Amino acid sequence: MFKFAKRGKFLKFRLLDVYIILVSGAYILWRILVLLKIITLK
Amino acid sequence: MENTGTVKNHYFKITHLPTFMLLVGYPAYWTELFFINKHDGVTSLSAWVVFLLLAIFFAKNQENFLRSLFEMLRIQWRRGGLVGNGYFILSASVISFIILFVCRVSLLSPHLSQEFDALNYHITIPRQHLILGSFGHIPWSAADLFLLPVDFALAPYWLATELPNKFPQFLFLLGLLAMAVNLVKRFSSSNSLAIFIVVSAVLGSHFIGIQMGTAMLDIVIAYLFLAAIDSFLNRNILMASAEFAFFFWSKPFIPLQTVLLFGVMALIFITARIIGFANVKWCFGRVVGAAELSGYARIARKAAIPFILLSMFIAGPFMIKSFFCSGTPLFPFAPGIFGSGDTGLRDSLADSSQAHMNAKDAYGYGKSGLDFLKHFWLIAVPDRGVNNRYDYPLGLNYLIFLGPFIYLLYSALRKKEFTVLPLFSVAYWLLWWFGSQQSRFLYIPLLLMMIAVVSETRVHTKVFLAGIFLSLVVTGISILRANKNDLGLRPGEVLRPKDKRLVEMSRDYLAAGRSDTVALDYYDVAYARFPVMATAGEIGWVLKKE
Repeated sequence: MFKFAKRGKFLKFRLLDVYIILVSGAYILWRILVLLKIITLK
Repeated sequence: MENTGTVKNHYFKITHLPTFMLLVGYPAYWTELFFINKHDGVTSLSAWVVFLLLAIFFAKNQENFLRSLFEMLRIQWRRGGLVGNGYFILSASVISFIILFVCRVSLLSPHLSQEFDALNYHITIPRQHLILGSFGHIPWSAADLFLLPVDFALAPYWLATELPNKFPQFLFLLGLLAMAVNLVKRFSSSNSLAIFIVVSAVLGSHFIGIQMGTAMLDIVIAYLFLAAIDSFLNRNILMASAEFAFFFWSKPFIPLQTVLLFGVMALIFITARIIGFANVKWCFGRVVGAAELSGYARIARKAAIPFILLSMFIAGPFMIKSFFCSGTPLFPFAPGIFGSGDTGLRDSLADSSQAHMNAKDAYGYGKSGLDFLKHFWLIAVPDRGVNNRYDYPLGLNYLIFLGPFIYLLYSALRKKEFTVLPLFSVAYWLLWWFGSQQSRFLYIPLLLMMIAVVSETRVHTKVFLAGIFLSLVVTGISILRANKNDLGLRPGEVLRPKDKRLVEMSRDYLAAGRSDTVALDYYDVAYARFPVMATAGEIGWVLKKE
């Protein structure tokens, strides 16, 4: 349906994609660890 | 001179319909209070009727809006490939599910723990005034001295049903989506993918999701701010003034914060000019020309007069009451600063004010430099269970947008570009850091951040879209989980036990034709249809006369 973005300078090294994969992975991992009560911050 | 059709299109945009809900509701409340009051805490249907007539009128005049939306989707569908269309179908399905589900839960009466403020004072205070038939201070209530114009403007809609409803908040959620669309459309030069992403992004944001379908007012306030920007950019002075006035006076801390924020922005602008920032942009896209900029400055000056006049009606009654009772126009800030107020309540008001100031500092992990760095992550995630020290987590979407936002802002600063809304978001965030660190007070900078990033079409990669989709699904599941116990129940069945008792007490009280005040040892009495005297409760909320 839509045309996806052409890669500009920021995206040439796929920094944005790497960033999004990293934060999404870290976020999901964190939530699982909280759910399992392995992480509990006071 | 503009013809009538142009004037209609200028002022009556269907996407700004929620603003008219306030413009109709606010005078309707005062009319109900003083002229057609049955003193039973239920209003007539007049506000709803006028609002629905307006909605029909708008829809008739704006049929092109829906036609152009449909046409845009049709053209894009033809152009789209398998991946693009597949992404659209999946996302649109989740979006439709979320909107329909939220609409369903919006039809229930307020009862959730996250709706406590609504039960505590948003609904309780205007309802108690209706029952008493007076705007005079409710002697036990500290919240009665707050600025409550939005609460009063929505009360004729909430209270038109025997059990208070929260459906207006759902309409404001739709309004918020429409404002995000309007702004992205403007800043991305009508890029259809950007428009679609911003809808997914707003609905997929955990911080918005947690308030969707609730009776809280943070979505309403965020709508008002974005609507004021949209009207201002459309050069619609009256609507911008009205929307900004309702926003500005919506909570006691907002006038103080906004004045400070505008001061900080002015300082940043002057500094930027001195060090050679030549270009001004609303977001990260097009440069705003000098002539266009001075045109907007002229509009801002013209908007000052309607803003001041409207403020007299919108904020005046609340500030005067607060002034005479607590010696400050903005209780709970600085009680007694302009006089003693109600001397019998002086100590209690001081205690209440102090309790609110203490509560303000009860959020977050601290305010050191290291805490500041850590909070960018910690505010996104739960720290135990589903909540965190900032009240509740902002969620994945915030993290997805944070990186590109910082990168785009850094790029703009290096090119010496003054980006108004992104810098405003940064200034807002910094002031938030020094104030009460509650995640719900970040709605405006977060939404502006998303709008600014989405409008920059370079970021629309497949991974970015996949991240937004993931966030949409996660938020959809959270909303479902938060409301799963209410599925299949009727409005009255979801109430808290004490609210069910209040409903029964109200029935007996009204049937007996009583008019006395009932003493209760709690103060969240939105379901009481009789005058209440709260005798116990936290010192922040319940006042005691000496």
